[in-house]
Amino acid sequence: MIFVVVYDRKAGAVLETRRFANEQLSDAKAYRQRCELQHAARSDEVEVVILDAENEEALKQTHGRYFGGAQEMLDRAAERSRHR
Amino acid sequence: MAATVRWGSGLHVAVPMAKRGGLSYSKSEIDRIGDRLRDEQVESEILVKLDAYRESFEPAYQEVVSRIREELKIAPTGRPGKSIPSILHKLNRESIRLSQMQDIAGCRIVVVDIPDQDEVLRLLGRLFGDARTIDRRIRPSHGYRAVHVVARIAGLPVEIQVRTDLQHLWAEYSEMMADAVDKDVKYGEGPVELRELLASAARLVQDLESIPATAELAWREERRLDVINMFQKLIRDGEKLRR
Repeated sequence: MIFVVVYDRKAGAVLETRRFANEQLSDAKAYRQRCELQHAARSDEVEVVILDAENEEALKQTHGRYFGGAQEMLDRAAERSRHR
Repeated sequence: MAATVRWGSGLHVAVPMAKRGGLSYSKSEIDRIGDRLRDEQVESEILVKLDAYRESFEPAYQEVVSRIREELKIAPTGRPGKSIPSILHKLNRESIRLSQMQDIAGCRIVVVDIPDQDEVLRLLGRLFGDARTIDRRIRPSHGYRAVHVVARIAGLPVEIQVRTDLQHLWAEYSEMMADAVDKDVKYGEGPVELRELLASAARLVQDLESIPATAELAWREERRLDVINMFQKLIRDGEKLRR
């Protein structure tokens, strides 16, 4: 699954997450370009990124800072420890 | 194909989609794109050029990610093109040009611990024989520990980040604090309190990961939970440093 994440680095908040099927990479890239232009005035602070992950859970594991604060990331690490 | 987009406070411009493959920019043209980005000229023309450049890595990216998924049965999260703030930050802080960046395309694998990390590295080494390995466990970069494997497909680099859970936790936390407090902390600068906090957290992780894999598993797991608890305290302390 492909995700386009629009993340406000300064605010530490996701502005938008849009999902695309694997075969829609071109659409995802067009959408990224649109978002990058939309946020051009804050291009050093608003991050628009395409991520390609098995599912949302895998995405949260590898790119946790887009999905919650430090505590959530810590909880996920503790959870992984408990399930080893 | 063109997309109509909203620009700034309301002007609509037609943005031609970047052509697929076959990038024809020279190295100096690529660096000019970087220079214009650095000068904060993120406008439609430069964005189309940047997209074409990012897109030129796609075949290499697809090959690397597909081979990891299909041949190693590992599920990395892929990032086919580096984001503009990441490119800008690198251009502004490091003496590197856009054409020299090794991580325009990449993916990330997070494993549980050092033995798993070593095993993944062994498998990647077998899969991409000529890849370059940058082991930041041996030489951390301002507390950042991980291993980056740079595979080359048809001359194009694709960076594979391999992190343990705790290396990843540190990296993500550090990135978050850099965004919230001071970006320069990634380069060993910024407020001393934040640098010390991140250094303490890095030491915790490094000490834990120095425990030999031969030590009893239950004992290692207890130490791991200790580190997570100590990390929790550091995170609480860190909240006071946010702007």
